[in-house]
Amino acid sequence: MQTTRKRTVEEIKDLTLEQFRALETHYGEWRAVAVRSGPTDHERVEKAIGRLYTVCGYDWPTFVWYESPREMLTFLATGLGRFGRVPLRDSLCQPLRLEREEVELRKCFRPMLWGLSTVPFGGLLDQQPALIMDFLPEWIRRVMVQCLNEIAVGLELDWISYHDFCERRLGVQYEPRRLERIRLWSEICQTAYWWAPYEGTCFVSDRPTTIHLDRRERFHNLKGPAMAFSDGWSLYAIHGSSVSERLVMSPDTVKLEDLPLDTDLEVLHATIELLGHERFLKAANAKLMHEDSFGRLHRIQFYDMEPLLLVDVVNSTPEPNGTVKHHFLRVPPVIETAHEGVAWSFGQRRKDYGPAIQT
Amino acid sequence: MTKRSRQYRQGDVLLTGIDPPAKSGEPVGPINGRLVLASGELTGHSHTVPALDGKAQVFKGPGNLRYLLLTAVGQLQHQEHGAIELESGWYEVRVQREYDPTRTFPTYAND
Repeated sequence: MQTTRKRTVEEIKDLTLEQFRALETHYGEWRAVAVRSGPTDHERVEKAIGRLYTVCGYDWPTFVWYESPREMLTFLATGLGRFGRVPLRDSLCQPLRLEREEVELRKCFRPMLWGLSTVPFGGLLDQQPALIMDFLPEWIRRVMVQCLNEIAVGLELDWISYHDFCERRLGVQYEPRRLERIRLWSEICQTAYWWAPYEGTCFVSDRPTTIHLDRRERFHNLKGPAMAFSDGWSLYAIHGSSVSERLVMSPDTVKLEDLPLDTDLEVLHATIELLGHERFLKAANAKLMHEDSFGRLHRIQFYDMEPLLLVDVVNSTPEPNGTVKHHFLRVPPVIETAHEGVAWSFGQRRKDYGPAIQT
Repeated sequence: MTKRSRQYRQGDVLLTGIDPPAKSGEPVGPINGRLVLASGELTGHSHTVPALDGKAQVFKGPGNLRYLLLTAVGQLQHQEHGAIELESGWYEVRVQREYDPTRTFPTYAND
Protein backbone atom coordinates (compact mmCIF):
# COMPACT_ATOMS: atom_id res chain seq x y z
CA MET A 1 0.00 0.00 0.00
CA GLN A 2 2.97 2.30 0.65
CA THR A 3 3.55 4.35 -2.49
CA THR A 4 7.16 4.95 -3.43
CA ARG A 5 6.78 7.60 -6.18
CA LYS A 6 5.76 10.97 -4.74
CA ARG A 7 2.86 12.70 -6.48
CA THR A 8 1.24 16.10 -6.41
CA VAL A 9 -2.29 16.54 -5.11
CA GLU A 10 -3.48 17.53 -8.62
CA GLU A 11 -2.34 14.16 -10.01
CA ILE A 12 -4.81 12.25 -7.83
CA LYS A 13 -8.28 12.28 -9.35
CA ASP A 14 -9.90 9.52 -7.32
CA LEU A 15 -9.13 6.79 -4.82
CA THR A 16 -9.01 3.09 -5.64
CA LEU A 17 -11.16 0.62 -3.72
CA GLU A 18 -8.03 -0.54 -1.91
CA GLN A 19 -7.27 3.04 -0.89
CA PHE A 20 -10.83 3.50 0.35
CA ARG A 21 -10.41 0.44 2.56
CA ALA A 22 -7.10 1.79 3.82
CA LEU A 23 -8.84 5.11 4.50
CA GLU A 24 -11.39 3.42 6.72
CA THR A 25 -8.64 1.70 8.73
CA HIS A 26 -6.67 4.94 8.84
CA TYR A 27 -9.56 6.92 10.28
CA GLY A 28 -10.30 4.11 12.72
CA GLU A 29 -6.76 4.54 14.08
CA TRP A 30 -7.12 8.30 14.37
CA ARG A 31 -10.52 7.96 16.03
CA ALA A 32 -8.83 5.79 18.66
CA VAL A 33 -6.25 8.55 19.20
CA ALA A 34 -9.04 11.10 19.70
CA VAL A 35 -10.56 9.13 22.59
CA ARG A 36 -7.40 7.74 24.15
CA SER A 37 -7.07 7.95 27.93
CA GLY A 38 -4.24 7.22 30.33
CA PRO A 39 -1.02 8.83 31.53
CA THR A 40 0.54 11.72 29.60
CA ASP A 41 4.22 11.63 28.71
CA HIS A 42 5.18 15.23 29.67
CA GLU A 43 8.69 15.01 28.30
CA ARG A 44 7.51 13.78 24.90
CA VAL A 45 4.80 16.45 24.71
CA GLU A 46 7.16 19.28 25.67
CA LYS A 47 9.71 18.11 23.12
CA ALA A 48 7.14 18.10 20.28
CA ILE A 49 5.47 21.41 21.21
CA GLY A 50 8.81 23.14 21.88
CA ARG A 51 10.12 21.96 18.52
CA LEU A 52 6.96 23.24 16.78
CA TYR A 53 7.46 26.64 18.45
CA THR A 54 11.04 26.88 17.22
CA VAL A 55 10.45 25.71 13.62
CA CYS A 56 7.67 28.30 13.43
CA GLY A 57 10.10 31.00 14.57
CA TYR A 58 9.16 31.34 18.26
CA ASP A 59 11.28 30.80 21.37
CA TRP A 60 11.06 27.53 23.27
CA PRO A 61 8.22 28.16 25.77
CA THR A 62 7.87 27.58 29.48
CA PHE A 63 5.41 24.75 30.10
CA VAL A 64 2.66 24.91 32.71
CA TRP A 65 0.88 21.62 33.32
CA TYR A 66 -2.64 20.99 34.59
CA GLU A 67 -4.41 17.80 35.55
CA SER A 68 -7.62 18.63 33.68
CA PRO A 69 -9.02 21.16 31.18
CA ARG A 70 -11.13 22.59 34.01
CA GLU A 71 -8.00 23.37 36.02
CA MET A 72 -6.35 24.88 32.93
CA LEU A 73 -9.40 26.98 32.01
CA THR A 74 -9.78 28.20 35.60
CA PHE A 75 -6.24 29.50 35.46
CA LEU A 76 -6.75 31.06 32.02
CA ALA A 77 -9.93 32.67 33.27
CA THR A 78 -8.14 34.58 36.00
CA GLY A 79 -6.16 37.75 35.40
CA LEU A 80 -2.88 35.88 35.82
CA GLY A 81 -3.69 33.53 32.96
CA ARG A 82 -4.01 34.64 29.37
CA PHE A 83 -4.25 38.37 30.07
CA GLY A 84 -1.70 40.27 28.00
CA ARG A 85 -0.30 37.21 26.27
CA VAL A 86 -0.01 36.72 22.50
CA PRO A 87 -1.96 33.63 21.39
CA LEU A 88 -0.10 31.42 18.91
CA ARG A 89 -2.56 28.65 18.01
CA ASP A 90 -3.67 30.35 14.82
CA SER A 91 -0.08 30.83 13.66
CA LEU A 92 1.03 27.29 14.60
CA CYS A 93 -2.00 25.87 12.76
CA GLN A 94 -1.05 27.45 9.43
CA PRO A 95 0.67 24.37 7.91
CA LEU A 96 -2.40 22.24 8.66
CA ARG A 97 -4.90 24.36 6.76
CA LEU A 98 -6.02 22.82 3.48
CA GLU A 99 -5.17 24.53 0.23
CA ARG A 100 -7.68 24.70 -2.62
CA GLU A 101 -6.44 21.55 -4.41
CA GLU A 102 -6.40 19.67 -1.09
CA VAL A 103 -10.01 20.59 -0.45
CA GLU A 104 -10.86 19.14 -3.88
CA LEU A 105 -8.97 15.91 -3.15
CA ARG A 106 -10.65 15.60 0.21
CA LYS A 107 -14.03 15.43 -1.52
CA CYS A 108 -12.91 12.01 -2.85
CA PHE A 109 -12.56 10.83 0.77
CA ARG A 110 -16.32 10.58 1.14
CA PRO A 111 -17.33 7.68 -1.08
CA MET A 112 -20.99 6.89 -1.56
CA LEU A 113 -20.35 3.24 -0.84
CA TRP A 114 -22.17 1.22 1.76
CA GLY A 115 -19.97 -0.36 4.36
CA LEU A 116 -17.31 2.34 4.35
CA SER A 117 -17.10 5.25 6.75
CA THR A 118 -18.39 8.11 4.67
CA VAL A 119 -17.57 10.77 7.25
CA PRO A 120 -14.15 10.55 8.92
CA PHE A 121 -15.01 11.87 12.36
CA GLY A 122 -18.64 12.97 12.40
CA GLY A 123 -19.38 14.34 15.85
CA LEU A 124 -16.53 12.46 17.54
CA LEU A 125 -14.20 15.45 17.85
CA ASP A 126 -16.87 17.97 18.81
CA GLN A 127 -18.34 15.92 21.62
CA GLN A 128 -15.38 16.33 23.98
CA PRO A 129 -15.40 20.15 24.12
CA ALA A 130 -19.22 20.01 24.29
CA LEU A 131 -19.25 17.63 27.27
CA ILE A 132 -16.50 19.55 29.05
CA MET A 133 -18.36 22.81 28.51
CA ASP A 134 -21.54 21.27 29.99
CA PHE A 135 -19.73 20.48 33.24
CA LEU A 136 -17.91 23.78 33.69
CA PRO A 137 -19.19 26.46 36.06
CA GLU A 138 -20.99 29.22 34.15
CA TRP A 139 -18.23 31.84 34.57
CA ILE A 140 -15.49 29.51 33.27
CA ARG A 141 -17.72 28.42 30.40
CA ARG A 142 -17.95 32.04 29.30
CA VAL A 143 -14.16 32.31 29.28
CA MET A 144 -13.87 29.07 27.34
CA VAL A 145 -16.14 30.47 24.62
CA GLN A 146 -14.03 33.62 24.46
CA CYS A 147 -10.68 31.86 24.16
CA LEU A 148 -11.70 28.71 22.28
CA ASN A 149 -9.70 29.75 19.22
CA GLU A 150 -6.61 30.11 21.42
CA ILE A 151 -6.72 26.50 22.67
CA ALA A 152 -6.00 23.34 20.73
CA VAL A 153 -8.90 21.09 21.78
CA GLY A 154 -8.35 18.21 19.37
CA LEU A 155 -10.36 19.51 16.42
CA GLU A 156 -7.05 19.73 14.52
CA LEU A 157 -7.10 15.93 14.24
CA ASP A 158 -9.37 16.34 11.25
CA TRP A 159 -6.64 18.12 9.27
CA ILE A 160 -3.78 16.05 10.67
CA SER A 161 -5.36 12.71 9.77
CA TYR A 162 -6.02 14.01 6.25
CA HIS A 163 -2.39 15.03 5.70
CA ASP A 164 -1.15 11.82 7.31
CA PHE A 165 -3.17 9.74 4.84
CA CYS A 166 -2.10 11.80 1.84
CA GLU A 167 1.54 11.62 2.78
CA ARG A 168 1.84 8.01 3.92
CA ARG A 169 -0.86 6.25 1.89
CA LEU A 170 -1.26 8.30 -1.27
CA GLY A 171 2.38 9.34 -1.61
CA VAL A 172 1.62 13.05 -1.90
CA GLN A 173 4.70 15.23 -2.12
CA TYR A 174 4.77 17.86 0.66
CA GLU A 175 7.07 20.83 0.94
CA PRO A 176 9.67 19.64 3.53
CA ARG A 177 9.22 22.52 6.01
CA ARG A 178 5.46 22.11 5.98
CA LEU A 179 5.75 18.35 6.36
CA GLU A 180 7.97 18.72 9.40
CA ARG A 181 5.36 20.93 11.10
CA ILE A 182 2.52 18.58 10.20
CA ARG A 183 4.44 15.66 11.71
CA LEU A 184 5.05 17.63 14.88
CA TRP A 185 1.33 18.37 15.14
CA SER A 186 0.67 14.67 14.64
CA GLU A 187 3.07 13.82 17.46
CA ILE A 188 1.48 16.42 19.75
CA CYS A 189 -2.05 15.15 19.10
CA GLN A 190 -1.01 11.60 19.88
CA THR A 191 0.51 12.54 23.22
CA ALA A 192 -1.00 15.73 24.65
CA TYR A 193 -4.59 16.64 25.44
CA TRP A 194 -5.76 20.26 25.39
CA TRP A 195 -3.00 22.85 25.13
CA ALA A 196 -3.04 26.61 24.89
CA PRO A 197 0.05 28.04 23.17
CA TYR A 198 1.00 31.64 23.94
CA GLU A 199 4.24 33.47 23.23
CA GLY A 200 6.73 32.39 25.89
CA THR A 201 4.32 30.08 27.74
CA CYS A 202 2.36 26.97 26.83
CA PHE A 203 -0.43 25.68 29.09
CA VAL A 204 -1.08 21.96 28.74
CA SER A 205 -3.65 19.60 30.25
CA ASP A 206 -3.11 15.92 30.98
CA ARG A 207 -5.20 13.39 29.09
CA PRO A 208 -8.30 11.94 30.78
CA THR A 209 -7.62 8.93 32.97
CA THR A 210 -10.88 7.29 31.85
CA ILE A 211 -13.10 7.46 28.79
CA HIS A 212 -16.17 5.28 28.26
CA LEU A 213 -18.06 5.21 24.96
CA ASP A 214 -21.10 3.38 23.63
CA ARG A 215 -21.19 1.37 20.39
CA ARG A 216 -21.61 4.55 18.39
CA GLU A 217 -18.56 6.16 20.03
CA ARG A 218 -20.58 8.58 22.15
CA PHE A 219 -19.76 9.25 25.80
CA HIS A 220 -21.70 6.73 27.84
CA ASN A 221 -21.43 4.99 31.18
CA LEU A 222 -24.26 3.84 33.44
CA LYS A 223 -21.94 2.75 36.24
CA GLY A 224 -19.56 5.68 36.66
CA PRO A 225 -18.08 8.71 34.94
CA ALA A 226 -17.94 8.70 31.15
CA MET A 227 -14.76 10.78 31.36
CA ALA A 228 -12.53 11.48 34.35
CA PHE A 229 -9.25 13.30 35.02
CA SER A 230 -6.48 12.74 37.53
CA ASP A 231 -7.58 15.73 39.66
CA GLY A 232 -10.85 13.88 40.31
CA TRP A 233 -12.96 15.90 37.89
CA SER A 234 -15.58 13.48 36.57
CA LEU A 235 -18.07 13.96 33.76
CA TYR A 236 -21.18 11.83 33.35
CA ALA A 237 -23.04 11.02 30.15
CA ILE A 238 -25.61 8.63 28.72
CA HIS A 239 -25.42 7.95 24.98
CA GLY A 240 -23.68 11.29 24.41
CA SER A 241 -26.00 13.39 26.59
CA SER A 242 -24.47 14.90 29.70
CA VAL A 243 -26.27 13.91 32.90
CA SER A 244 -25.86 14.73 36.57
CA GLU A 245 -23.49 12.81 38.83
CA ARG A 246 -26.44 11.99 41.10
CA LEU A 247 -28.30 10.15 38.36
CA VAL A 248 -25.43 7.72 37.80
CA MET A 249 -23.83 7.49 41.22
CA SER A 250 -26.76 7.95 43.63
CA PRO A 251 -29.89 6.69 41.82
CA ASP A 252 -31.84 6.49 45.10
CA THR A 253 -31.70 10.26 45.57
CA VAL A 254 -32.56 11.23 41.99
CA LYS A 255 -35.02 14.09 41.51
CA LEU A 256 -36.98 15.33 38.52
CA GLU A 257 -34.23 17.79 37.53
CA ASP A 258 -31.72 14.91 37.24
CA LEU A 259 -33.75 13.11 34.58
CA PRO A 260 -32.66 13.76 30.98
CA LEU A 261 -36.23 13.94 29.69
CA ASP A 262 -35.49 16.66 27.17
CA THR A 263 -33.33 14.40 25.00
CA ASP A 264 -34.12 11.43 22.77
CA LEU A 265 -35.70 8.01 23.31
CA GLU A 266 -32.39 6.19 23.54
CA VAL A 267 -31.34 8.28 26.53
CA LEU A 268 -34.83 7.95 28.07
CA HIS A 269 -34.75 4.14 27.88
CA ALA A 270 -31.19 3.95 29.21
CA THR A 271 -32.24 6.14 32.16
CA ILE A 272 -35.20 3.84 32.89
CA GLU A 273 -32.86 0.85 32.70
CA LEU A 274 -30.46 2.55 35.11
CA LEU A 275 -33.11 3.46 37.71
CA GLY A 276 -35.59 0.62 37.27
CA HIS A 277 -39.15 1.46 36.25
CA GLU A 278 -40.61 2.01 39.75
CA ARG A 279 -37.83 4.37 40.83
CA PHE A 280 -38.00 6.18 37.51
CA LEU A 281 -41.76 6.82 37.84
CA LYS A 282 -41.32 8.06 41.42
CA ALA A 283 -38.45 10.42 40.52
CA ALA A 284 -40.41 11.75 37.55
CA ASN A 285 -43.54 12.42 39.67
CA ALA A 286 -45.47 10.35 37.11
CA LYS A 287 -49.27 10.33 37.33
CA LEU A 288 -51.24 7.22 36.42
CA MET A 289 -53.76 8.37 33.79
CA HIS A 290 -55.39 5.11 32.77
CA GLU A 291 -55.09 1.37 33.23
CA ASP A 292 -56.58 -1.52 31.25
CA SER A 293 -55.59 -5.00 30.11
CA PHE A 294 -53.16 -3.49 27.57
CA GLY A 295 -51.05 -1.65 30.15
CA ARG A 296 -50.82 1.46 32.35
CA LEU A 297 -50.67 4.93 30.89
CA HIS A 298 -48.47 7.40 32.84
CA ARG A 299 -48.08 11.12 32.35
CA ILE A 300 -44.96 13.07 33.26
CA GLN A 301 -44.81 16.86 33.21
CA PHE A 302 -41.20 17.96 32.73
CA TYR A 303 -41.12 21.70 33.37
CA ASP A 304 -42.74 23.57 30.45
CA MET A 305 -42.07 20.86 27.88
CA GLU A 306 -44.64 18.77 26.05
CA PRO A 307 -46.03 16.19 28.54
CA LEU A 308 -44.38 12.81 28.33
CA LEU A 309 -46.87 9.93 28.03
CA LEU A 310 -45.58 6.42 28.65
CA VAL A 311 -47.48 3.16 28.40
CA ASP A 312 -46.10 0.56 30.79
CA VAL A 313 -46.50 -2.73 28.93
CA VAL A 314 -45.56 -6.15 30.27
CA ASN A 315 -43.96 -8.85 28.14
CA SER A 316 -46.37 -11.77 27.62
CA THR A 317 -43.49 -14.22 27.64
CA PRO A 318 -41.85 -14.46 31.10
CA GLU A 319 -38.07 -14.26 31.44
CA PRO A 320 -36.12 -17.53 32.03
CA ASN A 321 -35.98 -16.68 35.78
CA GLY A 322 -39.79 -16.38 35.93
CA THR A 323 -39.96 -12.57 36.20
CA VAL A 324 -41.81 -10.43 33.69
CA LYS A 325 -40.12 -7.61 31.87
CA HIS A 326 -41.71 -4.16 31.83
CA HIS A 327 -41.25 -1.88 28.89
CA PHE A 328 -42.16 1.77 28.57
CA LEU A 329 -43.50 2.94 25.28
CA ARG A 330 -43.61 6.68 24.59
CA VAL A 331 -46.81 7.73 22.83
CA PRO A 332 -48.15 11.13 21.64
CA PRO A 333 -49.63 13.44 24.28
CA VAL A 334 -53.14 13.18 22.74
CA ILE A 335 -53.46 9.51 23.74
CA GLU A 336 -56.09 8.88 26.46
CA THR A 337 -55.97 5.15 27.21
CA ALA A 338 -53.32 2.43 27.36
CA HIS A 339 -55.24 0.47 24.69
CA GLU A 340 -55.21 3.48 22.38
CA GLY A 341 -51.49 4.03 23.06
CA VAL A 342 -50.44 0.47 22.20
CA ALA A 343 -52.70 0.52 19.11
CA TRP A 344 -51.03 3.79 18.02
CA SER A 345 -47.61 2.20 18.41
CA PHE A 346 -48.60 -0.29 15.70
CA GLY A 347 -50.23 2.35 13.50
CA GLN A 348 -53.72 1.05 14.35
CA ARG A 349 -56.93 2.63 15.62
CA ARG A 350 -58.11 1.42 19.01
CA LYS A 351 -61.09 -0.47 17.52
CA ASP A 352 -58.80 -2.33 15.09
CA TYR A 353 -56.27 -3.45 17.68
CA GLY A 354 -56.78 -6.56 19.80
CA PRO A 355 -54.43 -9.46 19.06
CA ALA A 356 -55.91 -12.95 19.46
CA ILE A 357 -52.52 -14.25 20.62
CA GLN A 358 -49.65 -12.32 22.26
CA THR A 359 -46.27 -13.75 23.21
CA MET B 1 -64.09 -12.93 10.12
CA THR B 2 -63.13 -9.65 11.81
CA LYS B 3 -59.74 -8.04 11.37
CA ARG B 4 -58.89 -8.64 15.03
CA SER B 5 -59.58 -12.38 14.95
CA ARG B 6 -56.50 -12.90 12.76
CA GLN B 7 -54.23 -10.54 14.63
CA TYR B 8 -51.12 -11.80 16.38
CA ARG B 9 -48.50 -9.96 18.37
CA GLN B 10 -45.02 -11.19 19.11
CA GLY B 11 -43.08 -8.59 21.14
CA ASP B 12 -42.78 -5.52 18.95
CA VAL B 13 -44.22 -7.10 15.79
CA LEU B 14 -47.91 -7.22 14.88
CA LEU B 15 -49.32 -9.51 12.20
CA THR B 16 -52.82 -8.80 10.91
CA GLY B 17 -54.64 -11.05 8.42
CA ILE B 18 -55.70 -9.07 5.35
CA ASP B 19 -57.16 -9.55 1.88
CA PRO B 20 -54.51 -9.81 -0.88
CA PRO B 21 -52.92 -6.33 -1.22
CA ALA B 22 -53.35 -4.46 -4.52
CA LYS B 23 -49.58 -4.04 -4.74
CA SER B 24 -47.25 -6.15 -2.64
CA GLY B 25 -43.83 -4.77 -3.65
CA GLU B 26 -40.45 -6.46 -4.01
CA PRO B 27 -40.01 -9.94 -2.48
CA VAL B 28 -37.52 -10.34 0.36
CA GLY B 29 -35.28 -13.41 0.01
CA PRO B 30 -34.79 -15.96 2.80
CA ILE B 31 -31.59 -16.15 4.86
CA ASN B 32 -30.60 -19.71 5.78
CA GLY B 33 -34.13 -20.87 5.02
CA ARG B 34 -35.79 -18.19 7.16
CA LEU B 35 -37.67 -15.04 6.21
CA VAL B 36 -36.84 -12.11 8.46
CA LEU B 37 -39.82 -9.88 9.29
CA ALA B 38 -37.96 -7.57 11.68
CA SER B 39 -34.63 -7.66 13.45
CA GLY B 40 -33.23 -5.96 16.54
CA GLU B 41 -30.29 -3.68 15.91
CA LEU B 42 -29.01 -4.02 19.46
CA THR B 43 -29.81 -7.62 20.37
CA GLY B 44 -29.33 -9.21 16.94
CA HIS B 45 -32.54 -11.15 17.61
CA SER B 46 -35.17 -11.31 14.90
CA HIS B 47 -38.78 -12.22 14.17
CA THR B 48 -38.68 -14.89 11.47
CA VAL B 49 -40.86 -17.35 9.56
CA PRO B 50 -39.45 -20.56 8.02
CA ALA B 51 -39.49 -20.18 4.22
CA LEU B 52 -41.09 -23.67 3.82
CA ASP B 53 -39.57 -24.18 0.35
CA GLY B 54 -41.37 -21.14 -1.06
CA LYS B 55 -44.68 -21.71 0.73
CA ALA B 56 -43.91 -18.59 2.76
CA GLN B 57 -43.00 -15.31 1.07
CA VAL B 58 -42.31 -11.79 2.38
CA PHE B 59 -42.78 -8.63 0.32
CA LYS B 60 -41.74 -5.06 0.98
CA GLY B 61 -44.63 -2.65 1.42
CA PRO B 62 -44.69 1.13 1.70
CA GLY B 63 -42.46 2.59 4.43
CA ASN B 64 -41.67 0.08 7.13
CA LEU B 65 -44.60 -2.18 6.22
CA ARG B 66 -44.06 -5.81 5.13
CA TYR B 67 -46.50 -8.37 3.72
CA LEU B 68 -46.35 -12.08 4.49
CA LEU B 69 -47.99 -14.68 2.23
CA LEU B 70 -48.40 -18.21 3.56
CA THR B 71 -49.72 -20.98 1.31
CA ALA B 72 -49.30 -23.50 4.14
CA VAL B 73 -49.43 -23.32 7.92
CA GLY B 74 -46.42 -21.33 9.17
CA GLN B 75 -44.87 -20.30 12.45
CA LEU B 76 -43.68 -16.92 13.72
CA GLN B 77 -40.51 -17.36 15.77
CA HIS B 78 -38.22 -15.23 17.95
CA GLN B 79 -35.37 -15.99 20.36
CA GLU B 80 -37.10 -14.39 23.38
CA HIS B 81 -40.81 -14.81 22.65
CA GLY B 82 -43.08 -17.82 22.34
CA ALA B 83 -43.75 -19.09 18.78
CA ILE B 84 -47.15 -18.41 17.15
CA GLU B 85 -48.83 -20.77 14.67
CA LEU B 86 -50.09 -18.93 11.59
CA GLU B 87 -52.77 -20.21 9.24
CA SER B 88 -52.32 -19.70 5.51
CA GLY B 89 -53.23 -16.37 3.91
CA TRP B 90 -51.97 -12.82 3.58
CA TYR B 91 -50.68 -10.85 6.58
CA GLU B 92 -49.69 -7.27 7.07
CA VAL B 93 -46.54 -6.99 9.25
CA ARG B 94 -46.06 -3.90 11.41
CA VAL B 95 -43.14 -3.06 13.70
CA GLN B 96 -43.86 -1.14 16.88
CA ARG B 97 -42.88 2.52 16.87
CA GLU B 98 -42.52 5.16 19.57
CA TYR B 99 -43.29 8.83 19.72
CA ASP B 100 -40.12 10.92 19.55
CA PRO B 101 -40.63 14.67 19.22
CA THR B 102 -36.89 15.11 18.59
CA ARG B 103 -37.12 13.22 15.30
CA THR B 104 -39.02 13.78 12.07
CA PHE B 105 -39.32 10.07 11.31
CA PRO B 106 -40.78 7.52 13.73
CA THR B 107 -38.51 5.50 15.95
CA TYR B 108 -39.09 1.76 15.66
CA ALA B 109 -38.57 -0.57 18.55
CA ASN B 110 -35.77 -3.10 18.21
CA ASP B 111 -35.95 -5.89 20.74
